[in-house]
Amino acid sequence: MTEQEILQKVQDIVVDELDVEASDVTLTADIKDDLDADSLDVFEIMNELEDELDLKLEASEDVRTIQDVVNYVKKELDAQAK
Amino acid sequence: MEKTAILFSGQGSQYSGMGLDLYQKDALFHETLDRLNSYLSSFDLLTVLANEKHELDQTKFQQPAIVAVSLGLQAMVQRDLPDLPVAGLIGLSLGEYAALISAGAMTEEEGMQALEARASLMQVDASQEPSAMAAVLKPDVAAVEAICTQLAASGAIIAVSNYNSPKQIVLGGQTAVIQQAIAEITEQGAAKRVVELPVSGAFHTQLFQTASEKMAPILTKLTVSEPQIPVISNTTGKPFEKERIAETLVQQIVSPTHFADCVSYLVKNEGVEMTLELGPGGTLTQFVKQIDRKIKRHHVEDYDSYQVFLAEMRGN
Repeated sequence: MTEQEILQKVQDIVVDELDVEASDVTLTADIKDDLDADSLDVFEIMNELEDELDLKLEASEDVRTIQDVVNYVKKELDAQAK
Repeated sequence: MEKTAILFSGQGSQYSGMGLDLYQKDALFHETLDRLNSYLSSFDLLTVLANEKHELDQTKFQQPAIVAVSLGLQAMVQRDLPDLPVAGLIGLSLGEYAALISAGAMTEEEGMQALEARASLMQVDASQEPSAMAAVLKPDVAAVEAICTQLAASGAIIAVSNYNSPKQIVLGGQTAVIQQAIAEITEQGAAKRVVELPVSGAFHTQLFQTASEKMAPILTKLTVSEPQIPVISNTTGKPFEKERIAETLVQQIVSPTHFADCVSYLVKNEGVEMTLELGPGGTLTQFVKQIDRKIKRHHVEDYDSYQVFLAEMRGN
């Protein structure tokens, strides 16, 4: 998956989980501060990403912005590919 | 307009200054809050809403404050959308007081006073022993229940306290045994994830037995009337019956909430197609999405979100 494809996936899930506009889900958007998610919402997003991309994502990972999520997912996908 | 269920928020999503913009900008909200405030004997509602001394961290202030904001919004909805086809009401936990007051099952005055007592008694129980709650996401419900039953067999207090949606249930209990449960659920793979919640007590478990018992005489004394609109009980998943309102509210304090069942009941029996959550946070709206995606969802908590909602309804 390219970074662009991952971003698309993350955006779709975040829009769906948080009821926000796609245009607000930018790379620099802070999930809690800008998109009004609480900590459970962040876990729900992780759960959906896990299921859709067949990954295991740790809860403890420090993820604040959409860019952080994309980077984290990319890192895990790359690790899986090895 | 679609048949609507009005949802009254529970604890956990309160924030500093909630309702205060409405208090400034809407005369009816202002008047409603002042009236509700006059029924409270132990604190001033507006001071608590401003939250300058973190009053909203405490359940004894949180509960009446959340219900007051919800009832203020409810009065506005009734004024502005008198033809909204409201087919049922659901409150989560303390939100049931807002729902029952709205349905005319108890008076504002007695309802707020009973809630103030409930909040204060629960505050006492919350500080009795270290307790915790944990959200269990994408659970295998039967497996999680079995783990709780097994851990409780040794005399520890632990149970499923909230059945919020198919994707989320919450455990409550003594801190040590909650930790054991988290470890066990993780080891058995009985859920996708378990997350400890930052709460002040394990609500809806036996840890609130004293509060429940002390509420019995207070609730039994209330003047109750037949609800004008069905109010679906968290405890039974069915409409409150006039004769059993007091008894059900006593049980509610120590029984799990079944929000998902309440929503499903209104969809199945009343043909509800839309929900309107009144109160801070919008957590119930999230649950509704997880319960049934076909339901249209609205959430109102402040002046701006109310204007958006109203414009959308009037455009229909």
